[in-house]
Amino acid sequence: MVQTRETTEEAVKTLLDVRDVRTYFHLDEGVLKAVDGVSFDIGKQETLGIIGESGSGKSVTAQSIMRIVPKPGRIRSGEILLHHDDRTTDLTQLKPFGPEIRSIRGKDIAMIFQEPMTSLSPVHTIGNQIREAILLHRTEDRKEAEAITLDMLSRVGISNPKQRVNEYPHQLSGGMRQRAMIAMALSCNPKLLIADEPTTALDVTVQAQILELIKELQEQFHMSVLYITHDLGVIAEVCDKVAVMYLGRVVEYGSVRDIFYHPLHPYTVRLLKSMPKMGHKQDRLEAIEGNVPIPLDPPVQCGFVERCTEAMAGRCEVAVPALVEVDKQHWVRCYLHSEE
Amino acid sequence: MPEATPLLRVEHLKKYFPIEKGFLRRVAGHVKAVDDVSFFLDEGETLGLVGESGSGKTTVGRCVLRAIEPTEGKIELRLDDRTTDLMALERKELRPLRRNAQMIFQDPYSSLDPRMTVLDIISEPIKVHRMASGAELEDRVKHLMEVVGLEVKYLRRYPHAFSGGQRQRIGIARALATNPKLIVADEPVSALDVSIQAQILNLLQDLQNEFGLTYLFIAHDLGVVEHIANRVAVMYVGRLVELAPTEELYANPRHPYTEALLSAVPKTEPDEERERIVLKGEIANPAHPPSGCYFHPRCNYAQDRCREETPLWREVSPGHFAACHFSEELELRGVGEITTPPAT
Ligand SMILES: Nc1ncnc2c1ncn2[C@@H]1O[C@H](COP(=O)(O)OP(=O)(O)O)[C@@H](O)[C@H]1O
Ligand SMILES: Nc1ncnc2c1ncn2[C@@H]1O[C@H](COP(=O)(O)OP(=O)(O)O)[C@@H](O)[C@H]1O
Ligand code: SF4
Ligand code: SF4
Ligand SMILES: [Mg+2]
Ligand SMILES: [Mg+2]
Repeated sequence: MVQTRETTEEAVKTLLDVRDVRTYFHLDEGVLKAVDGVSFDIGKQETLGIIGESGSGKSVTAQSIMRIVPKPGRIRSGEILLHHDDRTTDLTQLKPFGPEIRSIRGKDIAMIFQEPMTSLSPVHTIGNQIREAILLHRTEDRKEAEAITLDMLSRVGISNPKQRVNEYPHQLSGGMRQRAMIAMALSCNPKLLIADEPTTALDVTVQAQILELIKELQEQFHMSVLYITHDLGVIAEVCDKVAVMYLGRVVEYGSVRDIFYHPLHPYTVRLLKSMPKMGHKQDRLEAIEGNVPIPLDPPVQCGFVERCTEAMAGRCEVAVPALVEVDKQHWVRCYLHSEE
Repeated sequence: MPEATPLLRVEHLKKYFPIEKGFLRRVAGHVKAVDDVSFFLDEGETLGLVGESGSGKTTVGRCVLRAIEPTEGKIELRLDDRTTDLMALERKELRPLRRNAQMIFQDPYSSLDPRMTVLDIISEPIKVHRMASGAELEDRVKHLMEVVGLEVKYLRRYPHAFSGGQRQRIGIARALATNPKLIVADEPVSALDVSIQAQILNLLQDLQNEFGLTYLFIAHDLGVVEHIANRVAVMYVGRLVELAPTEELYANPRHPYTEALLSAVPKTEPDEERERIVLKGEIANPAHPPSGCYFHPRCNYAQDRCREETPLWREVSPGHFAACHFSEELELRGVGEITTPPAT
């Protein structure tokens, strides 16, 4: 099989390389190009943020990495390279239900969601669920699994873990369920944590606690994090690098400071301006007119063209601009910044 | 000059939901969702109402409109220079007054009936209040659609054909249909994308300027509230803990809960520093609130007195109300002190 190769020099510092991935849903109405050109890489112990409005393809990107894209979705092209110490695996080449990806999920890559009940089962106690995950991936010793479970629960800030292990998810508050889900995801020491809007439904006070927790655990466990959100404030808070997505494509990609202080793509620029910023009151917000379209049989053009005030006729609506490195480690997909 | 009477004055508002137990549905206790809340709204202003989920914001909003029956309190609405206590009215007497106060909801998906066209949805309140019919009614609906930025050609479409932002515009048009004076907007932008959120906030501001609307604006996003509100009230476990003009509240909070809320907001740019006050635990259950100051189990400044004595709601400086025993002494940090802008 071709999915495993030797790890190259340059990949040593990189954990995950996502290269021009396209994931489409073949529907009766047409082809929905949920992810249509996504590239980024995540370094070891680095936090990459994906920011984009709803429908931009953030979750499907995460599902593609985990190989849990629901039917009728399929990865059509691209590479998702997971670099182990001694070899590299292209996740797109693995069988979706095969043993390899199953062992990678949970052990190498774990995921947390906005809705904790996506990963927690309502009919098993918190303790049971975490213990089972540990027994599956980490140790066969039940005593040790029990000890790790209690340790994880207290590390994520759940008070009285000895009692909590015997409770069911519905007995916990929203914030506590979120913590239990994180405990389960991290119980097997994953190399990469994918967090898909884990704090979107929470109050700011609880969000602040959870973000702090993820940062702490990242240091303790030396993990990389892929953090998905539509909240620029959360990005500013936790990320080293940012990929801005619009309509299935990464339109800008760079360090968090480049994205906030030197944004280049018109969408990034406008998104930053449309957000009310506490402590910087403006008279009027600069909204982006129009709506995010649905990428169903999308025309071959820049995805932002209908809402872009700088669109160039005869140019932006006839071809898709390429994602080009316009400055060191700063990539943009826009004809204002490259000929390609 | 005498002070103008406010458009709305709410006094000692309470809403207790009974907790029923067992087969006989015996009342085993009460959820004190709103417990002695007082505030006023001047005509044309926006009062923001913030607090963690479960603090009672929606219940206040619904009580003000008498969409649910308050347990106790006064709700005085001034109309044509006459003030009426809505609580003193029978349901029947209330009906003609209802058109003056309307609500906009958070969820633009569940708040619109999927079987009704845009025309039906927006005309419903006009019909209920017998304000127009026939061609006049349709003209009025078309006009409202234009006012909120919807294309009139979509008059006979169903809600599912619209995006979240457009649905919220439909909800706003429906709320405006009866020419209300007061609008309770319950998290109207929380479910929307950032770029669309800005569109709707701008629309709400334009409508306010054009029609002199008064908003009770409920939200949990402190950035959004700072942007839209003239004054802000902070709620915790069914009670107001602080209320002040927006700038004053954000710069000089007088209640430890407000200080903590402000510090929890994510920073606006990567190089900004923010001092976090980490609150212990979670918001108390209004069925079993703590003794004394409800905030004491989470408060970093709590003293023995806080466990026993309920703090008084009082005016700590002109127009600035707070309910903490130590509002006058504590040196709490506002946005300016919590955040250090990046050195440039
Ligand atoms: N299971 C699915 N079947 C069909 N279309 C889907 C499915 N999941 C997502 N999509 C579509 O793919 C696009 C991207 O969705 P998603 O990745 O969930 O966006 P985001 O997470 O950025 O909000 C959207 O247009 C969405 O409607
Ligand atoms: N119909 C109801 N019956 C019983 N309890 C309710 C009802 N509506 C709200 N509550 C309770 O009242 C409290 C305040 O709720 P709510 O006003 O919705 O808060 P918020 O809008 O601030 O999130 C919560 O504890 C909630 O569970
Ligand atoms: S490619 Fe053209 S339409 Fe697209 S963002 Fe750039 S200028 Fe705007
Ligand atoms: S009264 Fe006491 S417990 Fe309550 S907010 Fe003030 S200091 Fe904190
Ligand atoms: Mg998503
Ligand atoms: Mg509410």
